[in-house]
Amino acid sequence: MSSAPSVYDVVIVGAGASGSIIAKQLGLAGKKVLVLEAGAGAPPNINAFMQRFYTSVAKTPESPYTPDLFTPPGSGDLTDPSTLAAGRPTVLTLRADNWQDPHQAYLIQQGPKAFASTYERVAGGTMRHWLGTSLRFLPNDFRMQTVYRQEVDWPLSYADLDPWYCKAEAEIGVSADTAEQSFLGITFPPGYSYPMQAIPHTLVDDAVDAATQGMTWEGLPVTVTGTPAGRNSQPYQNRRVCAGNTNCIPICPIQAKYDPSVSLNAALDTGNVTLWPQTVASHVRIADDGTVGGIDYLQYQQVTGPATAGGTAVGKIYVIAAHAIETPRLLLMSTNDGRYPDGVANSSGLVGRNLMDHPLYLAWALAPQPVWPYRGPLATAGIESLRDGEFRSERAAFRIEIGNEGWNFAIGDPDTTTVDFINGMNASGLNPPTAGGAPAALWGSALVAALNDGLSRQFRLGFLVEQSPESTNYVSLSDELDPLGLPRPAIHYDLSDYTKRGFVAARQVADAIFAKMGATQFTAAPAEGPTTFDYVVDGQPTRFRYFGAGHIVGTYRMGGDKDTSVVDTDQRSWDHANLYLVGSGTFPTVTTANPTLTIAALSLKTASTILQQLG
Amino acid sequence: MASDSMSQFVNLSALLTGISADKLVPPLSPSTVPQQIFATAQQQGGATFTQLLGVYADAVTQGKSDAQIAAAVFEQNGSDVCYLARSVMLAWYLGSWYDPKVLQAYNSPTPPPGPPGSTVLSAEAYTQGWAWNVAQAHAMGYSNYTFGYWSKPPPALADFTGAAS
Repeated sequence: MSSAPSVYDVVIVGAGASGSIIAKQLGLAGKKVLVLEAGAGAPPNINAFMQRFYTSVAKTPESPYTPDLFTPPGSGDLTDPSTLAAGRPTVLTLRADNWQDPHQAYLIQQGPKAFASTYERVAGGTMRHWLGTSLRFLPNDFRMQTVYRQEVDWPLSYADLDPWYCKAEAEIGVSADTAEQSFLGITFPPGYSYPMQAIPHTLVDDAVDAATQGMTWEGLPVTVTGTPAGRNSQPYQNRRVCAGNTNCIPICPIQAKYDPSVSLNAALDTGNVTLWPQTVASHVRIADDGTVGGIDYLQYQQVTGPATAGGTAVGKIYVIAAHAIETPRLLLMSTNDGRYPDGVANSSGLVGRNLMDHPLYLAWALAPQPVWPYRGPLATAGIESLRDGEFRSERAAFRIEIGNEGWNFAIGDPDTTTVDFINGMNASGLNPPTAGGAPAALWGSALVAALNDGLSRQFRLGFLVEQSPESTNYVSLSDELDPLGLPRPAIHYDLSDYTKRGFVAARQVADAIFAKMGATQFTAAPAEGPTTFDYVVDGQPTRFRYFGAGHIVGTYRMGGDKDTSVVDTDQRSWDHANLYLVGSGTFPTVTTANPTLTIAALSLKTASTILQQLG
Repeated sequence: MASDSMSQFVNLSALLTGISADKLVPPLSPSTVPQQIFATAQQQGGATFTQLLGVYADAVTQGKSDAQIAAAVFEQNGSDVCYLARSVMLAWYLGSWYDPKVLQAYNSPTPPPGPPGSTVLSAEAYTQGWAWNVAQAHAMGYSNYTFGYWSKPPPALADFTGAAS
């Protein structure tokens, strides 16, 4: 498949959200596009993904996708990432005993803390396991330095992105209501409406909503609002209506949730876009005039490698859409025989720097009455009203996601509680020891009643805390090589005090909401580990655990000049006029909302710029 | 069910799980999950499986109550029978096989760290796991409901579990 490539108009590295959306726009305009995908190509259906998910003991975000997390498949033994031509991280390697083991964890984690988010290397990309949350960023998210003397400003304003947000909402197919989403400065063009009506709330949402009526926090209202969703509330793009499978992450079994394979297949259907799967970009070649002259690639037949073919993909314009860890990895690898010792597009020295996530504070509780979780989409509403305020000059902001999956995320339920009740254990906290000493082991109607009572009242809140950009959080190249001979990414990561103070507030708000609801909190005190930190709260040392939100951001930031950023507002490299670096790696800050809609909006903006450049 | 041992197995399972036998094995159901659980328990349990069914059959013959039968299974015939019965219950509830020896290890004064290991019996066993029904819900990733059902309360618990036998 690598034989005799001609010169394409555009070569794209990565068939995820950004790459697929850009390829579709270019293909529709008649441009010849080659997409290099490191992992497997797009299958004709998702049956194999579903089968892999159903039979996986650990139903992690990565579980449906390839290469198999486990060897043999279905076992509990993690595949050694050092044996994979296109490895990727998993949340199963964040334990104290494996997070820094290169034969368990793909990322070479240098600490001091673990980077907790993961990504995919497969056609459709990481967004295959996105939740569907399609929030817009707030106007003040773009001007944190100007307004709050924190972080940095974006070189774009909300108004600049507004038209692109509208286009992105059409591409994804977002269900929401403009009136409900008009908060904290968010506006819409006159007469605009989302492509589809809003998704109904769950009974979990209603319970939180009822209890927080009139509630305020630091002078701000605590308001439950529906979450704009990239999932269908009516038939859209020949895809079905959401049936509430409660499985948006890791995979919607009926593709009512948009994923980038929708745009990718549309791109391929133009007849102008070619996809090469199992093709790993290994080096970006810079010509004497400073433009990109080609991208070297390696191809493999077996997931364990070795490389079986290779070559150079040549186009007029190049787009690297390999997400915020593999993109800087590729740029840093591209030293061009020493002519670019710090890598391509890196005159600023910022490639790989300012790695961010939404470190997530998770709190879980039992409602006083059933709230009927494990039903509906994974999340249908949240609390957005605490995303902005004067407090941002002192501590990180957050949005709150209301989970509909009981304690599945929190403790792996219903499995954990079921094992507790049947085997006389108490890992969940729902089966405390009886007067006789041991937790009860139940059977028959008592088992049914206890499980029903516990499971039906479970809910959780997830606080997506805005992580501040820090140059000391970065991606570099490790000494560990993959089977293609390429250095695996090394990660250096920690949380700032500004971010930690956001966690303190998150915990306080969680406690206050649970108290308002009359709910009994079960948030477990975490043992010290790679994803915990200690912080003094009210004079008491307090341990927090953070989870990854899957929002990998910041490693080739956008800015107003070439000294302080890697790309401009079109996501074009300051250093190389025919090179675009796209995806959330260009975000100067992680902001207070999930990144995908903005990734899509910026991708559409970049596609338009590329078409202008091609003429 | 075709065989006496399968019939005994289902009736014992109904007693232990609290789910009625006609819900565990609906008439004319194409599901093979009951056979999967039976076959796995038989294969993994060996002689203990035969003993478990024997304990149940004897107790039924003797006209014992459900509580007396449960005591016979969990308390009066050794730990191997007890933990195999728990493995069977978990297979019905979660669609996964938890080795009886692993379950027993977690009931020791020094249990291993982390959750007990298990193996998913099949995709169908996962989606038909009874924990979801007892939650009056559906398996994550397997909904037979329609758009918006989540904004209304679910059907009654008895509609999911039937009257326990």
